[in-house]
Amino acid sequence: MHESAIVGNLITTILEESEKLKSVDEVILELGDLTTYKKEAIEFYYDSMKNHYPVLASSVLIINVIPGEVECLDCKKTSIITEKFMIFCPECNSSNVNIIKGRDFVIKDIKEKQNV
Amino acid sequence: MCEDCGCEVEKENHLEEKKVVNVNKSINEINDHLAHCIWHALKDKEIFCINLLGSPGAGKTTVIEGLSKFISPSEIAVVQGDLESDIDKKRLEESGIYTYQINTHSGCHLNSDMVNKALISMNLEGKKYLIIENVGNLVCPAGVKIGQHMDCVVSSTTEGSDKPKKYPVIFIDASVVIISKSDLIDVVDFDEEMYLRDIKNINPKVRIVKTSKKDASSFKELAHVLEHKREHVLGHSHKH
Repeated sequence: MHESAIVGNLITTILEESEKLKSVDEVILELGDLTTYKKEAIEFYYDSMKNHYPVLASSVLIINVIPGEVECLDCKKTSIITEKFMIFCPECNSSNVNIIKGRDFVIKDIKEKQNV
Repeated sequence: MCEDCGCEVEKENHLEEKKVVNVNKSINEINDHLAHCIWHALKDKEIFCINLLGSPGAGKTTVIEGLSKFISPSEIAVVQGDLESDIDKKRLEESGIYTYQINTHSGCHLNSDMVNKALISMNLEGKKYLIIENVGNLVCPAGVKIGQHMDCVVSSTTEGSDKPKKYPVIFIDASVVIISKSDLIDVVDFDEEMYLRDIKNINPKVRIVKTSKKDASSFKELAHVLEHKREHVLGHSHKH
């Protein structure tokens, strides 16, 4: 349910950043797998809300889910975790790790299709 | 030839031409920036800020009451987050703890703007601890920065020992997890071994402390842990 609030933030930012575009056709997002947001819920709320904004009416979200990734402080390797929320190094099984990916929700690009 | 308008460009290419705005912004950028400012402002005042998380009824307010037996109530300030009412504010004030109530109404967690507005209204002179009791919820407050130096999750035995497996995201940033209502471990068949194993899979570095309202001394260890964490954060230059 809290995705509705985050989609409100998302739309505000898209509108600010797309001032120079005639219309928004694609919004590219990176969604960390270890966040509290669910891809399908974001898409659902976005599709429900976008029609209130003519510039967004025909836009689609392209959401790339970024898996959790850890940096091992023992073996120094970086690895994608093998199971969601199992926070240890898949290489050496050490739990002395830092999470380096999968915690963020980022707007990467906004695209407008243009006539040639 | 393009089938739509008859121009010389192939249809596929026609649609591929795009104008791109590179944004590269976190969706929480505004919140996180303000949280960063609060983090530093409190550190400069040597006030250690704890984000106290947990389900409704886990015993978050009881933990603060218990701590006030080992940390002087005059050194503690609390920001209390609830959808409605000032029940917990009144409770804490009975223990002599300075408390500011935030009512979020429909909001499922506190954000840094709410905390900032509270702090503008508060007098924190002489305080060593600011405890922000977040809205009771194991999902929405997770990962939301509000200027805290540390996350502390209260997880009661009566909620069941399956909580780390069911709600991992709330445990991932916690420095301390408090198993509250620990006097009921046997009564509710709380599987402590499984609980500890599951929690260490999510957050291997977390410190676990058990407390019980029936045993006032059980809050002593927690007070020591928080004092140690306070010195660690305020005594050294730390990356946020």
